[in-house]
Amino acid sequence: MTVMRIRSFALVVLVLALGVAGSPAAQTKTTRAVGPVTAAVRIDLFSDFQCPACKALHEQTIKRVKEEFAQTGKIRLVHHDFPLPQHKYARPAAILAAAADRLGKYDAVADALFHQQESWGQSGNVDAVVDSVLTPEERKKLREIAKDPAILANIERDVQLGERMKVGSTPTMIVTHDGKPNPIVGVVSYPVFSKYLNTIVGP
Amino acid sequence: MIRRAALALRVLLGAVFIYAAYTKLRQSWLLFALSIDSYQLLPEWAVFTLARTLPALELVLGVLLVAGVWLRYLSVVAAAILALFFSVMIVSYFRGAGIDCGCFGVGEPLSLKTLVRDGVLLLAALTLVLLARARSLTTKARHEGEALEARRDY
Repeated sequence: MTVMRIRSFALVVLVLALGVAGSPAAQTKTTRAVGPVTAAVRIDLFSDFQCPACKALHEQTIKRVKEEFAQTGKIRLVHHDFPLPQHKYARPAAILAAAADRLGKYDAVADALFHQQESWGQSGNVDAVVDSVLTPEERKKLREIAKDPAILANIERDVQLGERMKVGSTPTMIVTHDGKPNPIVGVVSYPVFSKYLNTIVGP
Repeated sequence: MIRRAALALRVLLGAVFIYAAYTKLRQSWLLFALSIDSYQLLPEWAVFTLARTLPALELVLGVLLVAGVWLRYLSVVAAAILALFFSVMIVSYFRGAGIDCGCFGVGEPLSLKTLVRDGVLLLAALTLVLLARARSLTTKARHEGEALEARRDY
């Protein structure tokens, strides 16, 4: 009888755990991936915080795509880090942004990094830019999280994924629809890109 | 010799134009619009107009080049189009923006490789212009010679 009770309890716990994992709250834990996993269109964006074209794409197009397509559930948008070797500070910037994601501050940090790209791209003072959008407590936590080797490992995994997907330059978006990936290279404007997305996401 | 070289060049260029058109026509025209848009040189309406018309133009030009009709004029058109592409690519490459070449479908970044490839095609088209002109002059001279012979015989 006791064994039966334990089994039933374990089953209930398992069902609840699966339910939580599948809920929207669990899916939105990271803001690097926005939109439902089941969306018919998926965009994998490979970007480098120190690349000027990535800044232009982020500011002119991606922010609106995120608001109007990903947050409304029409598409799934996933950010991947692809720091290029010629950009000396792109990797430290990616590490701090990934650490900020664990604090729920990815968007604020990414916006600040792109916005002030020219200054930290020259001085290398990435920390000052990141700190400007965090509270003193968050800064302390961020420094601890940034030391986690899993952060760097995830970035390496993103780079390897990009190489497997034949990403040759940044920014590159791989738009997958009906199982077919279409690479879109460079900066595209929101009006043209949204027209394309509207034709594939349907009504 | 001139005839054979002109034949080889027009078939090569014609095939390249047909292939370029095929890669664009087999996918959504909006994907090609995104490639054109990535050059950040044209307004939205021009991007859409070019994306809808350029693949058809490339196809017609390619077929006519392979067929060898109006070669003297079409070789100039092909050279002019390639010169336009090449200059836009050069400017964009040195501007340093991440750009989709858009040459043969989507997803090929503008690089030194794409510049060299387009440069070689432009050289081929310019050579074809010269060969087509030389061939036309040779044919004209031969016709004039034949006419003169015929008049003398008469």
